[in-house]
Amino acid sequence: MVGSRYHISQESFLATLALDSSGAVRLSYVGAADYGPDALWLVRLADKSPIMMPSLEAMSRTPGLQCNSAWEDTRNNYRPHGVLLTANDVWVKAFQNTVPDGRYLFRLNPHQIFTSSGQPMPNRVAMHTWHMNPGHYATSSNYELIVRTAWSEHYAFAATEEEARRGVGTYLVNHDQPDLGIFANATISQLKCRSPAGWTFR
Amino acid sequence: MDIPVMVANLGEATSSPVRLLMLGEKNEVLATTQVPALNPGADKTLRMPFDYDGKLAQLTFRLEENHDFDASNDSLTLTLWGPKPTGYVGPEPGLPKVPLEAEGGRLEWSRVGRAV
Repeated sequence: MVGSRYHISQESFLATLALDSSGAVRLSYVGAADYGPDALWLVRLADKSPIMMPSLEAMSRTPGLQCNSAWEDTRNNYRPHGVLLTANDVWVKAFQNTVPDGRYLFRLNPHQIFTSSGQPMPNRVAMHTWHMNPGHYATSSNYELIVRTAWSEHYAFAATEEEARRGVGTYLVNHDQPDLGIFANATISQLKCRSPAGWTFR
Repeated sequence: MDIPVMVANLGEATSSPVRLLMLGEKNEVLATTQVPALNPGADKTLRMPFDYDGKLAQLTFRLEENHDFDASNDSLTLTLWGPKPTGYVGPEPGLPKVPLEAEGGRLEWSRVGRAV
């Protein structure tokens, strides 16, 4: 197929002229969607049925980072310290002079997260701490990157649609259920009291 | 004092109203409050009254009878203080000043503290 691209209007759509198998000229263009979160429609004339195209903005809506910090011992055995959370090298949260405890939820901007319409894309989440020495095992932590998407594409070969839907689920996807979670975001900044032994709860 | 706790709906459907429990170390109920229905992506910070006696070492928040996509985030445990030490707390007496040393090509980790 021979094609040439013409920017008819940089703001409206991108058009492509091409020759089909019979030698006829075909005009395709991609334009902004009339509705949806920055989605695009691909129109390939003479077929007037548009195809919805994945875009980064449409794919990733309100991503969030769920972090969990657990201790092996009681609060009095930990000194306040600094913790920096980053997602793809972008600062998400900096704890200063405190002892993070429990589960936290941080909302991310969609452009900070890599997504694709098919298989999950690798993202890099890091937790930097400044305390003790590099070989300690006093705290444990984990994280979960949550991305809400408008759609995703998966290819499957199966006898029935139901079987195909079951087969592509290799990771947790929530289609239609609520998911309440409890988080310590407000707790760490507002809960301050004095322990009987004189330690400060931050 | 009141302890603020954030409840968020990370799911794709509106949640049902549930009760939030604050539990002590032996799962005794210390306080309760109602979590309203939350739309997807919405969150609400609730305040739980807490009368700290200085002895409780652990505080747990749990959503009562909550059935949703992920049960692992239905509870949150905060660590408080332990009892004040009554004796010496620190490395074992007699440890060398440079605790890590190779013995026969193998590091003797057990000398520097707790085995992991």
